[in-house]
Amino acid sequence: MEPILTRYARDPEQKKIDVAVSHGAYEAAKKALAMKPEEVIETVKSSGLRGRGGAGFPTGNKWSFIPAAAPVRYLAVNADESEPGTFKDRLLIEGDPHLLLEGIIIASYAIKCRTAFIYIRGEFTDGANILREAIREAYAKGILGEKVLGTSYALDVLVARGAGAYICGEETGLLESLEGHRGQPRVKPPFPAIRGLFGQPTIVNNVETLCCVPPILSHGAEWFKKIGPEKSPGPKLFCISGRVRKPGIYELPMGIPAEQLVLEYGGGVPEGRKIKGIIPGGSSAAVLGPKQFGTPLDFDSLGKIGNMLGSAGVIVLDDTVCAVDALTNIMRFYAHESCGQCTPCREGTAWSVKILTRLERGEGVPRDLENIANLTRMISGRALCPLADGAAMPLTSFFREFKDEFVAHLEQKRCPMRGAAVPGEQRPLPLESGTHA
Amino acid sequence: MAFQFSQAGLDDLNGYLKHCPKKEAGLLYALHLVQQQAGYVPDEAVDVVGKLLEVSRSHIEGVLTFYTMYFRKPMGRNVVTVCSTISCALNGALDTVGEFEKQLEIETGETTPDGQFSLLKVECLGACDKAPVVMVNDQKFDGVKREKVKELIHVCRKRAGANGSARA
Repeated sequence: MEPILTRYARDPEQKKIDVAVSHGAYEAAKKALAMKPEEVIETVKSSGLRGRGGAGFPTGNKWSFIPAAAPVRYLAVNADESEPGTFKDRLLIEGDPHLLLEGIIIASYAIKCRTAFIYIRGEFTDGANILREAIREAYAKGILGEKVLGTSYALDVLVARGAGAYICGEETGLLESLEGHRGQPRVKPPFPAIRGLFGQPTIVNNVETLCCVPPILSHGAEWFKKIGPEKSPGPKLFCISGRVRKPGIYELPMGIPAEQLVLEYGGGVPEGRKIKGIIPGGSSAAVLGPKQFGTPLDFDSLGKIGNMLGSAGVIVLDDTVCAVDALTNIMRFYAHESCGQCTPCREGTAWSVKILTRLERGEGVPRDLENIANLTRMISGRALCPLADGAAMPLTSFFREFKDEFVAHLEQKRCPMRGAAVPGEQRPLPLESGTHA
Repeated sequence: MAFQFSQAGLDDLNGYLKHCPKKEAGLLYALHLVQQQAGYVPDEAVDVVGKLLEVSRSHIEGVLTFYTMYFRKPMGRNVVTVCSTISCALNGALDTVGEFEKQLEIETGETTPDGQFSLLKVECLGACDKAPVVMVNDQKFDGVKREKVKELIHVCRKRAGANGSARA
C-alpha cells in the first residue's frame, strides 16, 4: 500500500509550510470550506473513519453529536500519546504538522468551532515547538486566523502542553487538565460533545484520526472505504517495538494478522529466539498467546476475542522474556499512572505490583495466584475511566496465557528464567518509579 | 529573591489566556514557564502564579503534585530521565539506569554534589522504537544502551562547561 498519512512525514523539509503546500497541503481544507459543514460531516461519516485513539468510535457520528444550538464549541486535539508501545502520533506531529493542522481546520469547520486546542504531552518538547512554528507560519499565510484560507470562517489554534500524566490522554482527564486542574477523569454522561471544555460542547479527536480527514476530503469517502476491512477502513499506523529486529512505524491497512506484521515488517525476533507473545494495542491490550498469533489486527477481529486494537502499539515478547517480570513492569506503569480517584483502580493496581514483585523475587505465597485472579475481577469495570480496564487486560491475559510461569515462580521460589536469558536483560526494575523530585 | 516572570513569558501566557474563558486554564502553561525560567517551581513562584491566575495555593499544590514534570526543588543542570517502561525495559533500560547510577555515583532520584546531574526514571517517553530512550533536559537520546552512557555524560559535561548551563 502506498503510504497516505506518512507519505511525506519522513521528509525533514515537510514541516516547512511552503514545502507542505507544494505537496498539496490545505487543498482538502479549501474543498471542505466550499462545502456546508453538514456535508463535511456526512462525507466523514460515510467514509467509515473510526477514531485512532483507542476506542475506534465512528468519527463523523461523534462530530454530529454537537447540539445544533450551542453558541460556543471547541475542538480538543488529543496529542497526549503516552500508552507504552505507542509512538505513531509523534511521527505525524513532528514530521507533517501541516497535515494535522489541515485536519484540525476541516474538523473545526465541520463542528463550527472557533478555537481548537492541541493538548500535547509535556515530554514531546520537539513536537510542541514544531507545532507552534507550523501554526505561526499558517497564521502568516492567512491559513489560520480571522479569514481561514480567504473565507469568512475564523479559527484560532493553540498548543497546550501536558506535564507528565498518562491519564490526560483519557478525553475527560484531558479536558480537566486543559482547564488547569489535576487530570482526573469526569463521570460520563454527559459526554464531552454535550458538555466538555469550559462546560461547552467539545469534540476530542486523536492526532492520527484528524490526519485521516484531509485524504478523505481529497479522494472521497468511497476511496477511503476501499482500504482494509469493511468495518475498519482506512490506513493505520502500526507501531512495533520490544524484542524485534526492525522496530518502527508501519502504515498499512488494518486486518493484517499479528504474526505476519511482526515477521514481515518487524523483522521477527532476534536470531535463534521464538515469539512468545504479541501485545497488539499498547500495554492496555491483552497479550496474544501463540494460538492467537493469526488474529487480524483490526477493531472488530480483536474485539471478538475480548481484546482490542487500541492504539495499535504492537509490543513483541520473545522467549527470553519472563512473563511475570514483563507484567510487573506493565502493572507498575498503571499503578504509577492511576489518578487515584477510584479505589479499585488505585488500590488494585498497587496491590498487583506488590504481589507480582514478590512472585518475581521468589517470595510468593500460595494465595498470590488466587489474589491476582480476584484483583482482576475487582479492578475491571469498577472505575470511572478505562485506565482500570486497561490495567486489568494485561493482568488477566498474562495470567491466562502464561499461567505455568506464575506457578513455577511460586513452586521454585525463584524466577525460572533467570540465568537462562540474555544476560542483564531480565533483572526486574526497582520498585520505586516516577519522577517526583 | 522574589520570582518574576520575564516579559516574554508574560506576553506568551497572556496570548494564551485570551482564548480561555477562565484564567485558571493557564495554570499548567504558567508553571511550565516558571520551570523554564527558574529550573524548578519555587514557593515564591507559586504565590506569583496564584495571584496572576486567581487560584488558591492549595489548588496549585494539588496540580504540582499530580503532574510528574514539575520539580519542587532545584535540580542539576542536566536532568537525566531514563524511560523504564516495557519496550525500553525489554531492550536493557535497567542496565542503562544502573550505569548512570554507577558513573554519576548517585541513586535514581538524586543530584550529584556538584549540581551537574539529576537522575530520574520516567514512565514511557513515547519513542519505543528507539529503546532504551533517555532525555536530558529537553533533548531526547535514542538507543542509549549501557555502553553509551559514559559518552553521553561526557557530552553533557562538555556542553554545560561551554554554556554555563545545559538548560534551554
